[in-house]
Amino acid sequence: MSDSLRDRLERGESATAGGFSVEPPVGAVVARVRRRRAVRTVALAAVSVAVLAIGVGVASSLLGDANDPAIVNPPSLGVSPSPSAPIPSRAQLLEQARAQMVTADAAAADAAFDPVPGPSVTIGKVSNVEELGADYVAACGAGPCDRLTLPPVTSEVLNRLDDSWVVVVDTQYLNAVGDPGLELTSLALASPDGDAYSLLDVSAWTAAAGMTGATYYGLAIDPEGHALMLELNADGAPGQLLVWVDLDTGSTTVVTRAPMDSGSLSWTGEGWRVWFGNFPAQSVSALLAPDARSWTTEGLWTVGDSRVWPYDGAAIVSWPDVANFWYANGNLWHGDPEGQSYCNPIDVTSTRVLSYCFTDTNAAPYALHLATGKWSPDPDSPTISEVINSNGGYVEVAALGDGVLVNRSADASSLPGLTWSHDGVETHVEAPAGNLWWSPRAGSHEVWLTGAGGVGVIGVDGVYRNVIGGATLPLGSNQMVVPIGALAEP
Amino acid sequence: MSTWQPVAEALTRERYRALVAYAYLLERDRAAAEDLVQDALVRTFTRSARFESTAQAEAYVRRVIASRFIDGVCASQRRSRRERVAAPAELIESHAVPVEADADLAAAMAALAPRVRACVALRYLADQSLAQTADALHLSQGTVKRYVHEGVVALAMALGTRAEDDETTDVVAQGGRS
Repeated sequence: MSDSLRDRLERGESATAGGFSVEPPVGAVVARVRRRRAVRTVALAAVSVAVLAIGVGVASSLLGDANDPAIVNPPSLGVSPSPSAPIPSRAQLLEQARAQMVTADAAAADAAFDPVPGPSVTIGKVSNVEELGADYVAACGAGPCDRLTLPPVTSEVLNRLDDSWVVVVDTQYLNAVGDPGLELTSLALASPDGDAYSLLDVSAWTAAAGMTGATYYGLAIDPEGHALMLELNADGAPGQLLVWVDLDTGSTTVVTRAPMDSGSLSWTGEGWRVWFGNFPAQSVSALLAPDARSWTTEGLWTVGDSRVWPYDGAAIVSWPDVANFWYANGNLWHGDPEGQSYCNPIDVTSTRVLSYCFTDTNAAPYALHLATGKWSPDPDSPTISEVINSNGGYVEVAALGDGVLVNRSADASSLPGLTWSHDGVETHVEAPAGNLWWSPRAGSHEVWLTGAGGVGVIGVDGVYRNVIGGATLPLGSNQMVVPIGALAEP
Repeated sequence: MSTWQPVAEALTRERYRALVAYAYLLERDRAAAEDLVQDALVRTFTRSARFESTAQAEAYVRRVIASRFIDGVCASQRRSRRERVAAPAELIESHAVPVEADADLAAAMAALAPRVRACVALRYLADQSLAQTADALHLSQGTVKRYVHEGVVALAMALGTRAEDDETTDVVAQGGRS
């Protein structure tokens, strides 16, 4: 029997370590830490005095060391990369980030977008493997390669879409013959009332476009205009491409094939907001028209070579390996509270962001007040205990109604561990084991769950309802859930 | 003595070689791996957070190593040093240690794209969750899932290894970074 990958890697690391005769530089490491801590203390004191002198009320929450493990000193921020140089304070990082905010570059957007017609796709149809071509047949081999087939979506169903619906992304990775890029991916629509319909066969489109091996990255839906924007990676090529789909006719437009990385897109109610990083070293930000054939950058912003993740009325601006910031009300604010190194946002309203910050013993709620940029503990939300799951990772938390849903299951195959803390009471939620999917939209009335038990939804009554039964799901497939509808612009 | 110092000393003394080996599987350059580890150790213990054990600190250091590795790749790309980082394994042999204990594994890891390599290392050698890996590398959890899958498949092809079920069928929480 072959090795497990984990065993092989661990054995390899151990063997490699054994081959090194290097003496551990204990003294040198300790000395360098001492120097840096001393420099940091002086720097923080200086910044504290300066900030207090100008009377900025948010000083105490902004000062301190950059505590994110990924924080480094990239040349783009103008901070010395030398390990012996002082780490910029949180306040310094914030000021540098603000200085990087610029008006979106129209020329960059013009260079990135070049809409051309793509092949049509049959809305509501999920193809069998034989229809997709020889590559898929060969990859499936003797396996069944079943697809997720549901009743096809109709115009009547599309007219019923609202923000409570989701897209279920069903994917099987076909690695049987060694093509890591080949996958079977289809999209379905699901409502919390229990309706589910086949929407689109992504693999059929990529096969028709001659891009066998293209992989799914993301999507957004205009529920009123009956349109969808897909983000794909073609054949392992650098960057992603955007594909606009008319859900009434199945006609498609390939909006861009520019080599841009890790984009994020959303439907704003007026158009498709697109952020891409690394084009080649800056972000591209644009608002594409509903038909994706024109775009504007007027009034839009971007920040250096950051990545942007939109929420409802706010956005996370992330410099890879530097720091995260929130963008709201025309300003950037610290992404995490002072002194917290691992926080997850779970709810965003027009006035505040609610994040849970983890330690090994608990997860505590903090609120970022968007008017002031000040973080503070949130006394209205419960603190979560027992936050380490059986895999050693942190548990999942999601906003649900006026409370917090906690998933202590380590993975989809473990025993369920769902609890809902609300109104001072913690109640167990009966549901199959799975993974939580929550919406970046304000007001979380549902949390979706995917796992071996199928795809279901938990409402503010604390009851789980199965929408796509586990027996319906193809063997070996994975599901992701994507909320649809508009996210307000920050 | 400062509260951080005993943990820093113990971790460096007891786990330095393992950390360099871990970094070496990312960099495949002995000197660069040592720089990466020392830098990660210094950064880790400069921060205010306290570690209650060397294991806890080691997990954190491994995250910093992966993060710094990716940052180094990005920086090198910005400085037009893409060739060295992205070069096929045989072209960077001169940077390798003379005798590799597991040359096949090192070569297979080197053949992975840097972010894929970092994701695999964090998931399999640092035992980080998808969320932690995503956080350390500032990637979306969906992207981490993709990279891990790509890495697992590529390593399986190169090494004949198998992945445990949970490693290939993991479905991540969206966590807002879709």
